[in-house]
Amino acid sequence: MSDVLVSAPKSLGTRDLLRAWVEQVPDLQDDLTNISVVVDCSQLQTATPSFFDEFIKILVLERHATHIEFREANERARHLALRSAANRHISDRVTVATRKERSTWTGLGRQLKERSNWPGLGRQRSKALP
Amino acid sequence: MEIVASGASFDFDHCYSRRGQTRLSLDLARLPYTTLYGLVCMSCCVLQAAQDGLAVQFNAPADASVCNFVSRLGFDRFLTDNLGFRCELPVSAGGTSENVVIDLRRLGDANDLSPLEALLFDRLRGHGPSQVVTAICEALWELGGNALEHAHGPGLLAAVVQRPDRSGQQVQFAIGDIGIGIRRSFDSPGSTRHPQTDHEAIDLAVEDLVSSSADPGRGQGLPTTIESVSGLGGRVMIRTGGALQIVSGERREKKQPLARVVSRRSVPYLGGTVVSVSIPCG
Repeated sequence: MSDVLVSAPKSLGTRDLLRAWVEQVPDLQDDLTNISVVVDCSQLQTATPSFFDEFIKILVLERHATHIEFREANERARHLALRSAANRHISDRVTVATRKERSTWTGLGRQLKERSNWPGLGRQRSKALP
Repeated sequence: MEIVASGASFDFDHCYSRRGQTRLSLDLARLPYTTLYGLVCMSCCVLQAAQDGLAVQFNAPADASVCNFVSRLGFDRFLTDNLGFRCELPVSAGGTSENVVIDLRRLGDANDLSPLEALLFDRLRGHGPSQVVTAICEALWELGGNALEHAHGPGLLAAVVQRPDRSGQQVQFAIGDIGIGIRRSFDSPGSTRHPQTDHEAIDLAVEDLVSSSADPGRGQGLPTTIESVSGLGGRVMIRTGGALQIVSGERREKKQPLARVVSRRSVPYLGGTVVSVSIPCG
């Protein structure tokens, strides 16, 4: 399994804008089967339910990503992301790490940081984790 | 359409009637004060008049401070831009615009929302806690997205910081359109709910995960906006067709306020939808 790292945009609160943005991110173009996506939310200014719902829908349901982790999220973003995942019955495929805590995905945060100087990465595809 | 301002306070829904098929009559001479909700509803009438090709009759507010406020919000420019009608508002020089956060403007497409969010962040800095700005920005995105996706008609928006009735300061944001309204939006092919009245349509729209789309994750925008605004002790007004519903945050001891419908009433029919959000900010 490999991982894709992307930085969430500062603000894209409508579904159409988010979908247009996803279409421009090279690493999110193809089928994402067996790929986990880590989303850096540190620049995200306004979290909206539509943003998280559409993001989860596109990546997990349409492009079949194995897992999404939203990282550096604030409490509001955490609440909205987990609620959207629950609404779509895919809570087991979405995790959120808030700004206070590190990754809820055991070990991955540290490994990605060592490998790619996280945060401030932009986006990068890394090799499979052990 | 006729709007005749009278009385001690301006309640759009009491001053508006559908009288007159050929012109829009705006008699604001006795306008004592206006909320953003009232001004956005009036501006929807202006858009409707422009669409229907109606003539305009306009009496300016006699009160100088009301004239200043209406002008600072850009209502005179809005009349000119949309109807080609030039109204002479007796505006005094030296008025401040600092309480106008976003002046009246038409909502073009989703790309308009990002710069407006930046404006809100910039101009609301210092007006209350950061959660207020966040909630207003959420409302901008969610309500703006709804209007663009579901209204099928032109829309407009504005935001101010006001002291309604000289009480505590509030941030107000309102968005309106002259589209198909909430009830008809449920006629879309994917919808499983078909409200028979505008009141029923509002009841469905404020319910979590109920949408005119068949997609199971949809229908969060308006309920989440209401939840955020109510949690801050604010108020949301939803007007569509001939129905108005007001939801307000009910204060509870040592707990976050809870959303509660405080008013549900029939109002003179106005096509489209208006949603107004007010949050106390000091």
